[in-house]
Amino acid sequence: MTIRPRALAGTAIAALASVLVLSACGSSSEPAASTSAGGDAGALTVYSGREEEYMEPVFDAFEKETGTTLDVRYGDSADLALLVGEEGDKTPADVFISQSPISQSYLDQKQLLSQLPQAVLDRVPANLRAADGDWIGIAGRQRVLMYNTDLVKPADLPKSVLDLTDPKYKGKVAVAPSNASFQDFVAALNQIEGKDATNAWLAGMAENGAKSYAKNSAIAEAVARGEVPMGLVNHYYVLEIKEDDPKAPVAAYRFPGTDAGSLFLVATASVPAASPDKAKADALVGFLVSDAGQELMIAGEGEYPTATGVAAPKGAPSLSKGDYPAYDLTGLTDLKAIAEQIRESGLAQ
Amino acid sequence: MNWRALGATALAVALTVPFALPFAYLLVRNGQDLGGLWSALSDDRLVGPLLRSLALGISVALAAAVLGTSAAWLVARTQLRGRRIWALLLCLPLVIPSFVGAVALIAAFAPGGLVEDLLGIGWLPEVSGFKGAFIVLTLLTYPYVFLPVMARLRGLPPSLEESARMLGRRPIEVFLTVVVPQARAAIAAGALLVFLYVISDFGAVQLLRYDTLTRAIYADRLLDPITSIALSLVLGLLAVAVVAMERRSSRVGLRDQARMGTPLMVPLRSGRIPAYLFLVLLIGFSLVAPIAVLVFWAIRGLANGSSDATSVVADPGMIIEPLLSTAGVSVLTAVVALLVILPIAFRSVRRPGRLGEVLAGTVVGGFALPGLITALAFVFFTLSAPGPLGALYQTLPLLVLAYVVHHGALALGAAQSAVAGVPARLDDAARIMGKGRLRRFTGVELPLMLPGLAAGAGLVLLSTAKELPATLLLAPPGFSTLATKVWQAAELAAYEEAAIYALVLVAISAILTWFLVVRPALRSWAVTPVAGTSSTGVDSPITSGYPEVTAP
Repeated sequence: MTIRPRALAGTAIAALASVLVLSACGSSSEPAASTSAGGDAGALTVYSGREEEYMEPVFDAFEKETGTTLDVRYGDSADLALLVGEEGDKTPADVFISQSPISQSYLDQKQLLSQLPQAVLDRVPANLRAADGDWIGIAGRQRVLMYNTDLVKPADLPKSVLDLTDPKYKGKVAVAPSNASFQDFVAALNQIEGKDATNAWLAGMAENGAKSYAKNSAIAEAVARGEVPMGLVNHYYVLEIKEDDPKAPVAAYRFPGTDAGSLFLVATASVPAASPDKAKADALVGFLVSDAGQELMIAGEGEYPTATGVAAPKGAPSLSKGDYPAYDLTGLTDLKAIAEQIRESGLAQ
Repeated sequence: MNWRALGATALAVALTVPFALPFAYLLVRNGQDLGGLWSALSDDRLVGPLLRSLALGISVALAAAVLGTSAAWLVARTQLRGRRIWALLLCLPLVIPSFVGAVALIAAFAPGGLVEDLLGIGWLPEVSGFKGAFIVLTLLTYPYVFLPVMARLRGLPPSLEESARMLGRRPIEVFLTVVVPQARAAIAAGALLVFLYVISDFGAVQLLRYDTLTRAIYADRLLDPITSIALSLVLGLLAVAVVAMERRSSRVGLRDQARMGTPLMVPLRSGRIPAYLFLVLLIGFSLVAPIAVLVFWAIRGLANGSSDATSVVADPGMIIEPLLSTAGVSVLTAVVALLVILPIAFRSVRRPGRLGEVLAGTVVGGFALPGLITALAFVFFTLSAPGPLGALYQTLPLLVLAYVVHHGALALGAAQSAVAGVPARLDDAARIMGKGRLRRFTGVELPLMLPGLAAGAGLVLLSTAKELPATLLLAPPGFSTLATKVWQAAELAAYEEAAIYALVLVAISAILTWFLVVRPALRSWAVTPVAGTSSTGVDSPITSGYPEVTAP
């Protein structure tokens, strides 16, 4: 029983240490409690469907400029949108950043978003933001077919994304069925080709042994390693692989003409109506489309700026107007139905 | 009954309520929407995942039973050299959480990974799906069978085996016809525990993409909450039924034996090489291989660096924040769990009876419910609750509450035996000397109980540090633990990063396991090699009520 005093001291120290550690963590990373309770005015909570790697520099710059602390929950865009939908007026999120327009429109339809200030909206052309001003495009991306140049000859690439169901491509194509950009693509395909054709394409892809990955970045890594010869991703994943290893055997292929596989999509930002600090939340969204914010986002990811007057990054495929499939970006709304449509097609998640 | 006793009972009952909350919520919520429940249950959305959960659970339980029993017999009953070292190594896979095992398997077979480097082959087998989940879970769970069976075999009277051998049976026949039947209860108990572990597992099946119930519940939680909650009820009922079975069977079979004589040691003779080979391969695949894969990726990552400035690969200092969060929240949970559990333990031990059993059973029920479901119930409950309860959503207190509900039972057994270990005459003596209740508690009981309570709190700490699904669902924004960091990196296929976080997590888990589980087990083995040490080895409150670790 000689250990008694020591055990007592040990317990006391452990308890004290945990309280100290957590209060330290609490001050920097956990004011969600107070935000949702409407208490602490210092911090903003951000739900970000865009990865930490790309958003952190932008957030850091905002924190430095304004002195506002940001607490960020990173996750899948669709997941976070559904979460905000479920949370409703209890959501701790002051700002929701999504990879896709469909997740925003879903919340917009449920009337869970608040209108952004006109000055912020005016930074971006009208076709890249919601008609009611509830969300705004913050960066543009081009859908491409990424392929491994050691495994695929350019001559063997399909003329249209619809051709990927050809037996020639059996087991050779990677998709990210639960990813926001893929959901956007399917929603747009519904608009462009009709729902039946879209269903047939999805089922055809499943039957053709399309390989499922959780994220675009996982597809990019897999194509670069040669795990799978090609995959449907956004253009900047190719740039990113090239940046890490200029000799990586990967290239981006843009389906010719106005093929549905060559969509132009936007990442988006909004302010949930439940945010207790709308002024600060609006300021963050404003920062994302400011010159400084746009430069930072482009530098990180190689995306296209959405704000007028900011130059596109080097190395990105050139954008020529009229060369894109026509669809209504702001008409992509039915997130749950699209997710269900993809799941029922048999494309495994 | 006086007022004080009534107060103690009321306190114990009140503290037990949160443990019943998740399951009660599932019942109420499903009860409110019987139509939704029925359509979800009659849908093929239930049948497929349910069958897959059962198939995986049963096959892993069987495989773990075979591996664990064979290893236990070799260690406990044959003339094996280095018996204690083998016993120690064979327990160690317990320190690897299932999602870390899955990351190791995926990373091993990823192109550019260890297998390709070592074998130099271009074609790699697909490791996801049933195959991958089966391999990972079997290799990580066989200790749940190994430990109780080893303890049981060490406690078995040797007379039957001696007779069988004198009658000319070969060792393998003796094993199958005499040893296995006698150890049946221990094997069944271990296998049930494995089954429970597998059907509750979220991390491995999610990463390896095998569509079990937990995976369907997670995927549907936002897209189709009604189905998700209906499936949660099904899985919850299954888990609770398994635990009820387990508790009944262990009450019957495990704790009755006193040892008679020295156990018989079978000479291995020509079976020596296969025996050692079996153990080496088992430990190699379940312990050495995963660690080697993680070390391989971690070293490669640290050597190559990364262009991603937010990656721990580029800046090893990034490890500190999740490390502190993990340590802080785990210690806090352990302390809170102890405070909550102690009054319940007092009530159930000091006034044995129906109510005490119900209270203890409710706490164990909180453990039985898979962590994913507990967390999901708290998410939905706080989202729909008004006022201060609703304000708990995505806050640290709620996360700790969910942890306590899910892991608190781990401290219950220890706390109960600590309470039982306080001699009543000391309390009486203090009372006669006129000491009040509080003084008797702080001056007499608490010091006597502390070592036992610390061990119980330690088990809670260990499990909380490894917890994944509840942390994913309930952590406040910006709060990440080592487990969620491993998870995020694995989802991005950033194996270098996942490996670094995973190694740190495994190291912490190994240190805690050494002090809390292995050392006491080895010590008690050295002193009294009797059946019952089993319960000390497995971080489960189910197998037996009163673990020996805690005896002061």
